Amino acid sequence: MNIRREAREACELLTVEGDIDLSTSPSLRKHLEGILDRERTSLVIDLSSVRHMDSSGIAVLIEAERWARKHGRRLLLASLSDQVRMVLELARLQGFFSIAEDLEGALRLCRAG
Amino acid sequence: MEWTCNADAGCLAWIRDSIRKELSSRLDAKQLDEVVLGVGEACANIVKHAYEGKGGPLTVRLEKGAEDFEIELRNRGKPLDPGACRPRSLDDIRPGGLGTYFMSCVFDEIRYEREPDGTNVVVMRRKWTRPDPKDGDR
Repeated sequence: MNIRREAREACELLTVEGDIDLSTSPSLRKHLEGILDRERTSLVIDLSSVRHMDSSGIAVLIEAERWARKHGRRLLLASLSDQVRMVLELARLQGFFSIAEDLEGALRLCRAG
Repeated sequence: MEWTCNADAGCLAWIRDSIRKELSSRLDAKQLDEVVLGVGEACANIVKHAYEGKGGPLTVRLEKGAEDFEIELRNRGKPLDPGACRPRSLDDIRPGGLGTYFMSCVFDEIRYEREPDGTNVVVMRRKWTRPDPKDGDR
């Protein structure tokens, strides 16, 4: 799994590539904790290049969404890969997360505040 | 087809890739993602719960039949608590506990067995053709 982090206008962008599973989800959790603790109000996670995400990855995203809500931050999942979409549908979690069809849409939502 | 590896978190991607490669000629991309998810969750349970992160032998066997295929996982760790294998309700959104739910969605039958020599066996069976799991009432 590779994680790239960029500061964008009005948000932080995290691009995740590869597999999010038992061996890599702790690293994703650490990145998210570091970012959500900062001042910016919104975080966008680009999941377009995630080949495989399992229940440990979903657990990290649920924790991050809960944390973001509690502390007045916005978490947006953007551009889901087919596998990530399938997993979220199976878990019936599409309604729990804020999901943008593509990255541009997510960044637009951030700029709009 | 049979593979054996040390059950640690690093072996999961290798098992998923091996299963994907073996089934890619018979399943479409979405079906492959489902099966790979289910096998990955079952193996992660063995890494986490049967071996408690300490590792140990894990054998994966794939058998293709005319109507269905079967994936068998054998390990020599702690036996699984049958109660812990029950999928939880999806109304309870919280981290954890989704793995067994995914397994129950993507396989038609799952059996947990313990052999007299202490080997734990998980057998997961799926028909080659089946309805979309997210359309079911699980």
